[in-house]
Amino acid sequence: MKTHRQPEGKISAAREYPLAGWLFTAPATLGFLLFTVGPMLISLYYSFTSFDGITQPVFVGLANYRRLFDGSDIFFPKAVAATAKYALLGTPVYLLFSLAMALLIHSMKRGRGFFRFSVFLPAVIPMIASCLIWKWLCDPSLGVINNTLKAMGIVPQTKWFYSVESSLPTMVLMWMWGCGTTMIVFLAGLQDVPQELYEAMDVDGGNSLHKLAFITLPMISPSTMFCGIVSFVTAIQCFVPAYSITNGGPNNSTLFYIFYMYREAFSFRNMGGACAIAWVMFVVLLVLTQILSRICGKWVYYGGE
Amino acid sequence: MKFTRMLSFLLVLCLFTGLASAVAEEEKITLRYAYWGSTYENEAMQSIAAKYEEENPNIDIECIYIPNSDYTTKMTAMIASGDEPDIANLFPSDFIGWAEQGRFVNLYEMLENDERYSVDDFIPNCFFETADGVAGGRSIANELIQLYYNVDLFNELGVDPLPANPDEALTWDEFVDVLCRLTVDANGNNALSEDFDPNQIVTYGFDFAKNNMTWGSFVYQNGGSILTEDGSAYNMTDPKTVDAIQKLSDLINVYHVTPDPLTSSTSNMSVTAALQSKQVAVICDGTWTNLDLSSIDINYDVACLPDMGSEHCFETTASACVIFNSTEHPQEAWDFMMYLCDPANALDLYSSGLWMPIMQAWYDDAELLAKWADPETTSHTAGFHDSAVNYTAYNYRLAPESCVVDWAKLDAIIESALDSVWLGEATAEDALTEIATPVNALVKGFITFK
Repeated sequence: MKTHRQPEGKISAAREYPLAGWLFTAPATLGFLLFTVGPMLISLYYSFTSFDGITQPVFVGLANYRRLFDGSDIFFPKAVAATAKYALLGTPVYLLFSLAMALLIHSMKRGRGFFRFSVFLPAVIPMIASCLIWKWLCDPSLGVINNTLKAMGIVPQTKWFYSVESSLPTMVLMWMWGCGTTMIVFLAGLQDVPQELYEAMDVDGGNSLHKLAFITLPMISPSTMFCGIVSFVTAIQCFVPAYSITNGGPNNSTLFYIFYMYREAFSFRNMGGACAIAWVMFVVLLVLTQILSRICGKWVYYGGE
Repeated sequence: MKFTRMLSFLLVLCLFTGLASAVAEEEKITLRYAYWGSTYENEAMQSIAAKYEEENPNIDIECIYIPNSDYTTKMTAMIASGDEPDIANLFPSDFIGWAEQGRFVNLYEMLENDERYSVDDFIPNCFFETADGVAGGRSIANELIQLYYNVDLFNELGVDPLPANPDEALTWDEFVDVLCRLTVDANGNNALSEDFDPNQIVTYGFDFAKNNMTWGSFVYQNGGSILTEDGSAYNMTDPKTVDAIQKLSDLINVYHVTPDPLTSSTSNMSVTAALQSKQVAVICDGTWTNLDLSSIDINYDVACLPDMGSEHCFETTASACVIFNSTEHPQEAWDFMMYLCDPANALDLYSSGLWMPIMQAWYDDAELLAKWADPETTSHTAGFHDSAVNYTAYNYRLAPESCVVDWAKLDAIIESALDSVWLGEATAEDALTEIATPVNALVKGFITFK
């Protein structure tokens, strides 16, 4: 005799108690609708208007979008170039560095906790504070780094944030310094790799490089994909260093897209134009992340599949 | 019986006290005042407000302190949501946009109805005019751009002090010569010596924040300008403007007397700290620097800009203090606004060097002048007292950001071109000519002042 009804599948609960389901998800759904979807739709509307943030918006059709692509806004191509360079140069370097740190700490026999703590520490420092630290460290004439080099008899050749060539690489360097969170994700991935695989490789006569290439990297590929996409999006959305260190300079070399958008909205009081800038970015990011996850999906190995 | 009488007495008492407090509540007026500034300025503002409340028990001042970097953002949000304050300090670039929308009380009208003051009581360029007979704002305070130098370092290196009086100003070549003698490398050679090593400099002769206020003052000093006189077009391709910018670039890239460019976002603190630590001998900055310098351990003095072949020209700055049209208490707001600009009510702000008065009497009347600028009793130095207070005897012009409409947009293009000049990657002529077309497309003229 059945004492209770057997579950017939996952869908049946939702079919049977639709209201309860909606109610349970209401806090998240309502929040999403009110604070994400709502403002997004409003900003879409504003992107077709001339709007200073205060007075009534006036519908101008595609003017805000046309302005970006017909060359009348000289900053748009510069912002796109700076952001693309930063993301394409920075993301692989950042990922490799985080992975290297994770591998190093994972292979440590002693002092692992200390080093994990040390590498992770910069990640908990507020972005604005670490930017100020780096700004002072990297001051070309009065900063600690160049002066230390001078004291050691080395003539510093770089102006760090303050020259067109070195500003982006210095920003990448600063980003690498805060690699703690990504490193932890990699470390967790590494700790999940079954030990017997390495033992099998030992039996087959493989060396450390073989282990890394044929076991470690494939086994942590889900972590790599996650970190890759998140880092890429983070790079494209980079704002604070441009805002607090370089003000987009020198000569627009660090005019990151988000900073450019912020400046358009709040310094130039062109909220309509800024909304259009944001929507262009949204579409580009959507397409890019889709492509990335399709490509990555092919070589990511999920255990048990 | 006794109990009932007592109860009714108490009830009546309650009613009266209730009414009385209700009346008092009704009469109490709250004025909201928004401003930016350093922590010190915030404290000073709060104490002025407290003093005002004490003297005017029916007024409550609600101080809204917003950091510089968020100021425009927050003020925009406040106005957009109909929550603007009664009185606010505004950046000129924000002021002009909102003035066009008719958001401010006409201060000339308020002035006309106030027997205590007339327009002539204020310094020139004090009122931001938005149309004939309409003043949307008044200058918060007066500031000048000048040179500040470390006296001890000058003495150590055996260099004569810089003149404060514009009539005795050094020529440009003399100025460069002095800066070269102040620039010293690790081996003790100065920039005039043949053995001088520009890669091992320990003390630089000169530094300036790379923003429109500092390079602008050299442009004015050289007889150049940002826009043409009528404000209709970009004028930085003018030979005098180009020459001034190139001269500044040469200080960095040819003479090596100025450190590599810190971008325009560099804070004021770094320059004063560099001056104190003798990494830099002379800086160019605004009057507000007096406050930072007088609060650290440094023997400094103020000097005038070098003579660059044109008539001497002081650069002044102005940010707007406004009363929003939406205020329910324009008269009370006006009274408080006038209280704020009377140095007698907040002498500290002036004697500490942060602000210069906007009321003419405080320059003309020797007794009043001594109160805020006497080198013996205030933070001001002898150099400041001798020269700056007489600035109106010379040419004077407002800094670009104070007087050019839509300066933020123009500045974004101009500063990025100047970055290449400071870095020595382009000549002033090439960089400033290249941006002529995009800047001209944005030029909207000057804000008018009285």
